[in-house]
Amino acid sequence: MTNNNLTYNEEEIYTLMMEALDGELSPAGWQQLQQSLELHPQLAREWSAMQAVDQLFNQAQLITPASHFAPATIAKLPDLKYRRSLLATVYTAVLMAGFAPLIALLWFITPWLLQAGVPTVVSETGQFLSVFLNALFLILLNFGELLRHNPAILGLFMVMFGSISLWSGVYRHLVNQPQLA
Amino acid sequence: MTQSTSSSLSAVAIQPTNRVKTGKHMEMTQQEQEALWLQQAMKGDRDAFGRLIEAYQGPVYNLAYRMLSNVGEAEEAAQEAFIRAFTRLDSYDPAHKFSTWMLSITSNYCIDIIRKRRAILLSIDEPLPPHPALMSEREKGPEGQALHHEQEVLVQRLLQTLPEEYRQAVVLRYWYDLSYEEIAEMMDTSVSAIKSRLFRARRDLAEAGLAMGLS
Repeated sequence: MTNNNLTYNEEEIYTLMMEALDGELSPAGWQQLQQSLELHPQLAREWSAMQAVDQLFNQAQLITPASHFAPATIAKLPDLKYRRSLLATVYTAVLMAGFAPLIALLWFITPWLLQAGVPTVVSETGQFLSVFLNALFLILLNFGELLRHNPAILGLFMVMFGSISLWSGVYRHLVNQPQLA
Repeated sequence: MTQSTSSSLSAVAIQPTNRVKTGKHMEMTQQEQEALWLQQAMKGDRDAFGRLIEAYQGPVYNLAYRMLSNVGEAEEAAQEAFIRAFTRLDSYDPAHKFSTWMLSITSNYCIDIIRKRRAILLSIDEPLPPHPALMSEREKGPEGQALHHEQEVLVQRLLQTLPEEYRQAVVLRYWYDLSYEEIAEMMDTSVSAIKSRLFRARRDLAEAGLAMGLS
C-alpha cells in the first residue's frame, strides 16, 4: 500500500497530479508540476506510472453483453401486477390477523357485559385503574427518593448511556470503513 | 456472441446504447420516450421496461464486468440489477437521471457480491479469465488482438488490486465520465470522500502498475 505520510510539498505535488489527470490543471500549474517533479525523481516515476494507468483506462473498450442478454433479462422480470396483488393479500391477511383476537374478545365479552350491566363494568374498571395508577405512583415516588439519597445512581445511568452511545458509534464507523479486497 | 466497441467509451458509455445524438430535438424525443417507458414500467409494463433494458444493457453490463472481472458473474449481476430496478421503480425519483440510478443499483449490488466472495477470491497473481469479446475481434490482426487482450487483462488485474469502494469510484470516473458530485451522490458519500478515494486509488494503481512493469 502507498505511504500516506506526505510532506506539505509532496501533498501539493499530488494535488497538481490529480488536477492534471482530471484535465483541470492550468498551464502555470503544469509548469509548476514539471519543476517539482525534476526535484523529486521518485514522484516523477510514480507520476509516469499514474499517467500510464490513466491512458490505459481511457483506452479501455466498452464491454457489451451477449445478444441473448436483453431477452433473457426481460423473461426473468417478475409480473408486478401479480406481485402487488399477492402483497396486498398478504398485508390484508396480516392486518386481519391483528384484528381477529380483538373481534374474538368482543364476541366473548359482549354477553358478559350485557349480563353484568354497564354501570358495574365501568365501576370495576375504574377501581382497577385506580389501583394500577397508585402502584405506578408509589414506584416512581420510591425511585425518586432513592435517587435523592443516592445521586451516584443517576451518574451511573449517564455513564452507561454514554458508553453505549460511544461504542455503537465506534461499531458503525468500523462497519462503514472501506475494506481491502 | 458478445461484442466490444472499437472506440474509447469515456463520456459516451452512460448514454443508452441505442441512443443517437442527431440534434437537440432528437435528444428531447429520446428523453421523452424514456420518460414514457418509465411511466409504463411503473404500471407493471414489462415490455416498456424491456426497452429500457435494451437501451442500458451496455453501460450496466460493462460496470458489472469491470467491478467483478468475471463474465458469468457480470451477466448475473447485471440481470439482477435490472430486476431490482424494476421491482423498486416506485422509489425512483424522476428528478435524477435513470442511468445514474441504474448504475448506482448495479455498483452497489456488485460490491455486495465482492464482499460475499472475498473468502474465495482468486489471488491477484493468478491470470484472470479474459472476456470472450476480446477473443472475437476479427477485424484486428493476430498481433492487434494479442496486444488488446494483454491490455484488457492488465486493466482488470489493476482494478482487482483496489478495495471495492475505490474500484467503484475509479470505474465510474473513467468509464462513465461522471463528476465527483455525481459519484458522491451515487455512492451516498461526500465529494471530499470521493476525491480522497480516487487519490488513493490512483496512487495504489500506480504502485501496482510499476510492480507489473507499467510505466
